[in-house]
Amino acid sequence: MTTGTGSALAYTAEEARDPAAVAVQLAARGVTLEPDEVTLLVELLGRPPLWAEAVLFAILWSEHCSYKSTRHLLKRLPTAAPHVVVGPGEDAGVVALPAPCDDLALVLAHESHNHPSQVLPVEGAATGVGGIVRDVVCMGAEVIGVLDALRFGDPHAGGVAVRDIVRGVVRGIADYGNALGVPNLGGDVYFDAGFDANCLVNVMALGLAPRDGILHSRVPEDSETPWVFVLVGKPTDESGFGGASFASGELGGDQRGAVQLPDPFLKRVLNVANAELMRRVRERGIAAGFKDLGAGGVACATSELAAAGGCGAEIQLDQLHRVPRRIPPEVLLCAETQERYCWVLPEGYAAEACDLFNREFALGAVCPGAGARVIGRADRSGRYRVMWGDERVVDCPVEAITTGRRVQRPARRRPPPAPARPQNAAPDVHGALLALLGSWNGCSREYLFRHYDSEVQGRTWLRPGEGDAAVIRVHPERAMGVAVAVGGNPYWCGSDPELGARHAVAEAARNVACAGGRPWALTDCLNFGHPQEAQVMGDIAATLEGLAVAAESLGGLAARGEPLPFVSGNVSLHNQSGERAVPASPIVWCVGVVHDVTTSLGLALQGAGDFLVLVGETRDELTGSAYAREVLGEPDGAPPSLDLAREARLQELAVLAAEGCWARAAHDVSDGGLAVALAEMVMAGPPERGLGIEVDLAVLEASAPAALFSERPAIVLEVAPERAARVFQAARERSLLAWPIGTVAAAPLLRARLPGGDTVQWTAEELRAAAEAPLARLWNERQEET
Amino acid sequence: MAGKRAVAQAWIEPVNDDPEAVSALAVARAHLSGGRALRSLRRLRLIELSGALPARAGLEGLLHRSIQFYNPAKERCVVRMAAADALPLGGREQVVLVFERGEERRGGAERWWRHETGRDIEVREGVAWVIGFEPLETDPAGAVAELAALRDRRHGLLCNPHAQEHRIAAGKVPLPWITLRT
Amino acid sequence: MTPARVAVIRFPGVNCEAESARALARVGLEPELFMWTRTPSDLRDFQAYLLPGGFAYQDRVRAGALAAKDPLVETLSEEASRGKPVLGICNGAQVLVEAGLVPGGAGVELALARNHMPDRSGYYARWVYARVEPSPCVFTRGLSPGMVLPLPVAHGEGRFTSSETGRVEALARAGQVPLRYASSDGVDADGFPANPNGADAGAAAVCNGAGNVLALMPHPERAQDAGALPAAVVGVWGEARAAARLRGERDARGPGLLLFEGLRRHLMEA
Repeated sequence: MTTGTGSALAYTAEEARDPAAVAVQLAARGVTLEPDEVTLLVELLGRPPLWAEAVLFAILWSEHCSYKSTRHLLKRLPTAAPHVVVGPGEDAGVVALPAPCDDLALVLAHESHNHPSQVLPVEGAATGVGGIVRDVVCMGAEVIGVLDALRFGDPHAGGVAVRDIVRGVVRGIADYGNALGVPNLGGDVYFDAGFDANCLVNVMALGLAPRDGILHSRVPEDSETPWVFVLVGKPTDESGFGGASFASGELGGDQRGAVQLPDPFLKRVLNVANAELMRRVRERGIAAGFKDLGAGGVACATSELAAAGGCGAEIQLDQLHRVPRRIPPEVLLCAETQERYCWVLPEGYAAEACDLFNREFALGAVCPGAGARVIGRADRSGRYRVMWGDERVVDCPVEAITTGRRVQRPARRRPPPAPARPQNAAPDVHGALLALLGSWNGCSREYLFRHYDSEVQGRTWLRPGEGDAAVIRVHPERAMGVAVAVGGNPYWCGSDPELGARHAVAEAARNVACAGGRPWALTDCLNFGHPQEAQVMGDIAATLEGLAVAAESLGGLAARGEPLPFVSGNVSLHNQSGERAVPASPIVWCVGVVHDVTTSLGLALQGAGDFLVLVGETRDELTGSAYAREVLGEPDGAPPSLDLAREARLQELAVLAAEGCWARAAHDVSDGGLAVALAEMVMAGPPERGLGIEVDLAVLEASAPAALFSERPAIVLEVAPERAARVFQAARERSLLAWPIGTVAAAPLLRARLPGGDTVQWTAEELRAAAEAPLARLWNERQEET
Repeated sequence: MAGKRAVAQAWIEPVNDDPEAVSALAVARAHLSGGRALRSLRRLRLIELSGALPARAGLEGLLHRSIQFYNPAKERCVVRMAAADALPLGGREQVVLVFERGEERRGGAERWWRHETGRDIEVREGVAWVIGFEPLETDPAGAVAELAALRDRRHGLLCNPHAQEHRIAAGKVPLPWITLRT
Repeated sequence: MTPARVAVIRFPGVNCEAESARALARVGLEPELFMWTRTPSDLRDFQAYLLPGGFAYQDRVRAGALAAKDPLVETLSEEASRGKPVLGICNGAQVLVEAGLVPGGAGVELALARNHMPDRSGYYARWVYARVEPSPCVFTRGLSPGMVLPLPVAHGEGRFTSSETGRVEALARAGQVPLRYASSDGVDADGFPANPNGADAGAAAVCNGAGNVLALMPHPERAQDAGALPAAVVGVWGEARAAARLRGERDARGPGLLLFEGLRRHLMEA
């Protein structure tokens, strides 16, 4: 906690001659400025900084806020396409939907909340959801879904500490999202010892806004109007103070005070109130700016609103509604109290706006001290000033706020690994599939997602577990839906960051395509270790190259010749404890457009006698497979190869199969290979229907293990016999390999005739028993039965 | 240093304003006959640990370490190991203990304790509503009894007897209280 | 004839009001979102009332506990005693139980307690089947007993219970349990997960003696569209789902609307 006085000098010009010593002194008081930043600050201000200014710039220049190690690298990502309305740079990305819904826009935001979730899993994960929801709301949108991608340590070897984090994070996401009334549309989870000391919690939120009603995070253009800042929400307290710096360093000591406190109840009321204010300003044609408060609190929000609007600002700190305790001005200025937004409104409208929050919605009755207050005004001074009564505690040029920090870090690329050729063979394929389904990374996630409400708002057409992507209907009177899915295999990315990153994009887009959605836009979060490590920086550069190359190849279903654009994202560094960084972990969300929700496709088998068609790459490599890792015990393995041009055509086929109603179910082949994909299709249907699968894999011309467990990209389609010709023709037209592998059976089993002549069979019941056991065991602290 | 079988209480209170207590106070004052003369209503969590427990310093240290018990960043904890130990109560305040019938045990906390100390203890949790009246309340005991058990829209709030248990203490708060046997 | 007006009560923290209002509008009723800050007497101008799902007052003290004390609920009680229909869904059901409006005797006779589930605790979300039982309940009156409706549940405190042993079973015998958890083929639910929360007598809903006040734990407003039902739904509604998707009938009606249609039919006859 800082213990300065706002308007006292943080250090003198004399002291600044030894910037390293100053940095040490500041660090002892909880303020992190590198020595070169100590000097830079004096240059920018033309004088040594006041204490509050030092606190402010320490946060602005933290890795979390400034992206100083990576911003220049992020330029590699394609961010432009005809349907992009707002690319990366504001709180969330915005893409227009196609006709006939081009009056609507989709808002996407993606963030990480890794360190807080490791320290306080429930609050950390909950405030992660809270923050991402605010990012979407502040663009003027209604939040219509949240998703989460999670990476945890080894639940067995990592001990009860890891299991507490798993349970706590899920509880935090559930408590927050369920109370807010936003459906959870899925995500993924991986378990690996590499995340024991640094879990990853990435959250994504989706919103819907009128295309011409997008609100921007800046003071509006009209310089004649007197603009004021209206702070809305929770009373400011000391909570989370220094969170941005907390996110930019290694974990250690008791960090619980740095984790913010969530309040989904206040947020729900706030969202309803904000929606009403949005409706009124739109109706009356009143221009407005709108931003949510996150890292750096009032300071970052108001200074960025001003800077983005090309103007200056003066904030009156004593106007802030706050808890009834003495709080130093620099803490009030930078604290990260949750559930706060900042509106920029014409001065003449401010009183009405405050009345909406304070009286109509009675925020103070919902949460003691909550409300809306005018805290400052924009001006043309070109300076950002903060007053604490008569004292000036911040006074700097507005451009100083937006002065990026750039730190040149050495980078070392690693050579790509050779594909693994497994030495062992496991003769027992029957046991192998059950072992995969019973593994932490192969088991059913149903136990987990039943903590989440996926039906609220009444828009859900394909829910978590039902398909490769979740599908929600955009509006009751429209046919269109939105599909959303995730990609990012930590083993592949950890082994070969560039190729792994390509797969992350391909997988997310392929999942969307299998559900019947045309991939439309992407978000990404890069979760890596310390930027001071050359290997980490090398992995980041390689990852960005992979993400970019894949995105450039897979945008054709949205706009021919255009890339799939990244419209929002986040970089989370310092996910490292000592020597051990997390595996390179880019996580990619893809959203897609489903023109008619009734054509969306799930996994569950529909009719006995239907054909099963496999389309994609030959099954000849076991490199990077869960089978090699889990069953053969061979952990190192490069990802399988990926031909992006073929992948684009494969995704096109999947989309046509859905849109044209050729297929009745679809599933992509990923973790665990074809055997797991088929098992999941069998398990997805209701037991009462009693359907299963019979396949003859000799047609694949591969060894039995490769046929069953290879993870080379492919999709499985359930096709009514009279439509099969259509599918094979479409595959031929796209130079895609397609095999008729079998049929849907009227018995609840998975039976496969293997290359070599043996037949292996599993009952639906034993598949379910294996798949449902691990997470139930984890949550109930039961040991594995041996 | 582990003692013989003992019972300790951890009384845990939020550092900031507790919206739950603030709302309950406002509603009780406005709508309940027992709440007419309510001056204060605080909501504490009461955790009872029973078994071979360490001495006070060790116990406080263990409770501080895990959010299975409390979060020191937002709550403070007062430990009571003997009946004479101080409680975070005012002189005339009464306490209503409420917990879900049959569900007062905290498995997660017990597992954490076993992992940290190697010992098995029992951990129980309930909510302790601490109630103070204005002097004009002539029958504070009656008023508390009214507030405690939900009967209809005008009477009762803190406990729904169809799913929950409650106990009332005025002055002396039992140790143990949640745990039925010593 | 002007459509009947239904007030959708908006306590702070509810979150299902939009789709609840949509369901009412879809069957030809006129919903109005009624803010908690409005005067209770304004409620008298409505013909029926809906308490939607969510977390009214953040479930402070207990789910539904504080909302039950609100003067709005006192007015609801008076209007209900005049025979006006009141539907409480999920959190709304908890408010009705905490307020004693259901089962509607002298005071509070039930609790919606924490779910009892083997191998898990807390909040639980899934689709279940609810079977229509003989009852004077106005919301189910037009439905044949034995009819099975797929509906989603999502709650942590959905277990109808009482400190008086056998109370809920007695209510069922008296026709005050109009919906019971069942298997897909209409047989009594044999435990979890067909009965998702351990409710006594498998009660998914409890009404008052006159049948105009209903506390319902599953969410009918989330089952408005046949095509949007889960693929795992079997029986008549599974077939309806398949047909809607095959024919591209996005707006084919789902099982949840039947309960709202019951309300509309009742109001038309009144």
